[in-house]
Amino acid sequence: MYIRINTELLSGLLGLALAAIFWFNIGDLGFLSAVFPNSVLLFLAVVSGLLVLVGLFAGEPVTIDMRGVIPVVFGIALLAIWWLGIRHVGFVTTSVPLFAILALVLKRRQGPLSLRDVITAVVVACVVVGGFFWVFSELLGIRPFRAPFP
Amino acid sequence: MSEIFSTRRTALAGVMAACIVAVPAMAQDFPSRAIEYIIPFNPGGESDVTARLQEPLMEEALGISVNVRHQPGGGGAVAWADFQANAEPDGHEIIGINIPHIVAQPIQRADAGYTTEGFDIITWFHMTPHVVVVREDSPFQTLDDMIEFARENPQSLTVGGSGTFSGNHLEALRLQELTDVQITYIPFTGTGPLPAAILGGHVGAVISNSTLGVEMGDNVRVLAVASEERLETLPDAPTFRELGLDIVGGTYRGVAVPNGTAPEIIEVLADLFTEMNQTLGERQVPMGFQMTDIRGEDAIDLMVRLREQYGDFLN
Amino acid sequence: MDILIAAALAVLQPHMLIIILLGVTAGLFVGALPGLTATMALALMLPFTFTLDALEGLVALGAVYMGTIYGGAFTAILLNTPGTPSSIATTFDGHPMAKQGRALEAISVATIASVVGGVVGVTFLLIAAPPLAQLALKFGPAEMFWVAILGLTLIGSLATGSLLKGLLGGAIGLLIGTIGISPIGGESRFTFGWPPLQAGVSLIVALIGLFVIPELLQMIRRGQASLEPSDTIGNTGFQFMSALRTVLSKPVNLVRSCAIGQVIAVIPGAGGSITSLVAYNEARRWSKTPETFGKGNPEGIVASESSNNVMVAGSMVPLLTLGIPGAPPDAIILGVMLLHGLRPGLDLFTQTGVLANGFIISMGLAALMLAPIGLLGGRLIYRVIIRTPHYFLVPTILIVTILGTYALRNNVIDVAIMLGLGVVGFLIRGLGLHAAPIVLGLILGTIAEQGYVQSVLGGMALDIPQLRLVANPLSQVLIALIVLVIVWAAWPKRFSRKKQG
Repeated sequence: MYIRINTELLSGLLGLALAAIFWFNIGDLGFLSAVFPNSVLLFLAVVSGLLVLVGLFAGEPVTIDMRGVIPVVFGIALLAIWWLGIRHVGFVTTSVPLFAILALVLKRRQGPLSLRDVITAVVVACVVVGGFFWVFSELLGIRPFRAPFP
Repeated sequence: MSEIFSTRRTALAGVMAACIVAVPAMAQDFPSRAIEYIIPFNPGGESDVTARLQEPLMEEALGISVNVRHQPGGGGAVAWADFQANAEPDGHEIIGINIPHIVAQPIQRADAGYTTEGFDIITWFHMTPHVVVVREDSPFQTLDDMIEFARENPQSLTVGGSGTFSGNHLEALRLQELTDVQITYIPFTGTGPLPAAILGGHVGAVISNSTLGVEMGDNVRVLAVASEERLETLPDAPTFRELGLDIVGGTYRGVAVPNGTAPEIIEVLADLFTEMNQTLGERQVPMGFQMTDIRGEDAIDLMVRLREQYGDFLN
Repeated sequence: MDILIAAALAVLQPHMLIIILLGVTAGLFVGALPGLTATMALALMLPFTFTLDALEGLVALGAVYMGTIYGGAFTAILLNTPGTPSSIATTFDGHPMAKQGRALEAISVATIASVVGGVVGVTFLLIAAPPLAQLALKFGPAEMFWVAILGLTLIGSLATGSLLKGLLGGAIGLLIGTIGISPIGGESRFTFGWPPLQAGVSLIVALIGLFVIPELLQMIRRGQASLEPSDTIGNTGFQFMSALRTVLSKPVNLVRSCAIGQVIAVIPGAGGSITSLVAYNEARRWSKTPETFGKGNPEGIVASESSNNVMVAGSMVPLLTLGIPGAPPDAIILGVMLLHGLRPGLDLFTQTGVLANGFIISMGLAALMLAPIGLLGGRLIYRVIIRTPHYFLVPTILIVTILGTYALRNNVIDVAIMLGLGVVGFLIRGLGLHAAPIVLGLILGTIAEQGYVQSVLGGMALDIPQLRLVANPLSQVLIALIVLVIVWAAWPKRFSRKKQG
């Protein structure tokens, strides 16, 4: 599946949107703090405006390969769940199952999974997650995540 | 103004009293696990190096491991906010605190994420008095020369320091107020860039901590020190008071626990820091530090006094 | 001379050599983990150095520093992930080479370039520290502002494809850099009512997010690893000789990159992340075949890795002579020196000459040790990565990046920022917006802002304070240089060539 989009126009609009979001949230700043962000916002707006113009008058739609959208959406959702889990449940308790699930989903695309694959994935997940957690928290002395479980 | 502060002071005392009543003594269990010692600044600064020196001494005295962790960001505010929101009040999580930061940020920022009163202070263990420093070949032989120049050339004298609404900045404002001259204060990001600014002639003078004056040795001249008496390490530098200006101030560093920690535990820790100061002093006094032991009511008084002195500048 | 010999003898003790060996090895592995910076590695070592004497402590720190900066090259090449900000430019050609099955060659080239860079930096530090230090002092706020603007012109060549999109990326990077407490005004900006954003977006958090996460999502999308295993593994050994020939066959590139590294390193506050980008850019600009850059040209690796290892010793110039930390890790070395009662300055080289020179010589030894340790360690890391099936590699990298990001500031919000920027970075890649200009904007934004605001403040007594920016001769030289670079880039002949490429 392919779609055709005008990347100049889109990126220009993205830049303008970003500039607008920041512009309306700049708040009440003194000269020392405001002068630089104002200049950057102006620069961003000018560049984005130019991109919109180029997109409107000389833009050539670019063909984008949309294959693999479903795995990407899955991947992004996984990242979100991962972070929520680390924050509210625990690093090891979240990472071991998600590690195994991600590994199995990726492996699944090469062929059917056997029970052995599942067991391997879980064991590897335990070893890798536990191993790195140990290295960071014990060896490198990084503070463990603040969450109810490890 | 002072009325508000005295109310706050009473409130603070009240909170402390409430804690004494509310929390059952559990000091006999302390310490029962490793202690987290959080430094809200980047590695390599004075707070960090001090904590690294204290770490092995604490481990030896308490017989448990002590882990120094960094959580820099927002001039310390991020770590302080996280600490007040999440740390357990059982003495196993302690955090480095600094004056004037924890006094100034909550006043000056719309939402710093923490409050000055949200800490139970163990002790302020040392301070570095502010100094005014010029390059060794500067035309300013004395502080008077400098003030005179500033009086004749408003805004022309540039004075570098670390940060805005920091101790350095507030001291510069106070100097302006007392002498009634206009100087231009130029903030730098920390003490690190200040030697370059002064040696490269990018600023006319620097207001910084005593440690910088000691460290830069003969390359600079220290015009005045904001301490009560002259420093052993800078014997030729007069105090502001000798020069007729009532400026005594500096950056204080200390440690705190969250509100609600048992007073017995705070005392155990405070005694330990006092004891460690003996060993630390041998190394740090020659670097320009002044060892202190300001705890309990005195620790709160110190903050209230500073708030009275500098509160007007911050609003 | 006597001092140098005595210093060399003090360092060439068996236990010193073991300290250097251990330090370089430890640094190498720390540097290879994204999120673990040289600054953090040195901070972790501080308590150990208190138990050593002054020279031993400094030697250990110097060795770890050298190892960390070099270790960043591994992940840059193998995973398109700069382990430290100073190896961003190494990804540009290192990773394409790895994709072509030339990973070992790329690692060997990076190693030899690093050794050369490290030794050059140490040599300059030994023979030319005082004059270089005077150069460093010339860079005040106004000059730093122009250095940052000069850096921004790099966007012209970092932008693959449209220049406008490159500028948009740079502007986005500059904007991200303004989040948090403003460096000069001290007020909180763009926190959107959320106190944790006072910490701002750390460069390294953005770097990991924008480089690693899109790569992982790409692997998830395609269902396979992006690395081609090399056929030549095993039979050509370390490819040491051929890599040596590659590095030495373009001596001009090597000399130029080292010179760039040396000059930028002594400018306090510029740091290693810019040195390698500038050196890379110049290598490409002066090459006869600029179109081969970004597609697996070893010259790009040589430029990046030689210049960033020059920086290690180069940034010690202002540190040892003036007490000015040239790069963040130097602040820790300064702390250790002060604790041992050593004051930076020319006295350091005369009164305690054995110690100062011994420290410098030990960094040279550390650089030389990069060769055997790096070639062995690199081969080990390569094998592990290439033999791990992609379905285990992807989640493992994710675990390491999450832990590394958290470790940076013990801040779980940073993990969310990293993942979020990564997803956005992946999506806008489709629009032709790439990570490099964004990261460049983020690096240079703070430098530009500080320089600008401090200069204007310094000019308060003038009628137009902004004139302070152009008052110094060095500022004017830098402005001329910027104009020159822009004119060069816009020259019609080169313009058409770029369009073809």
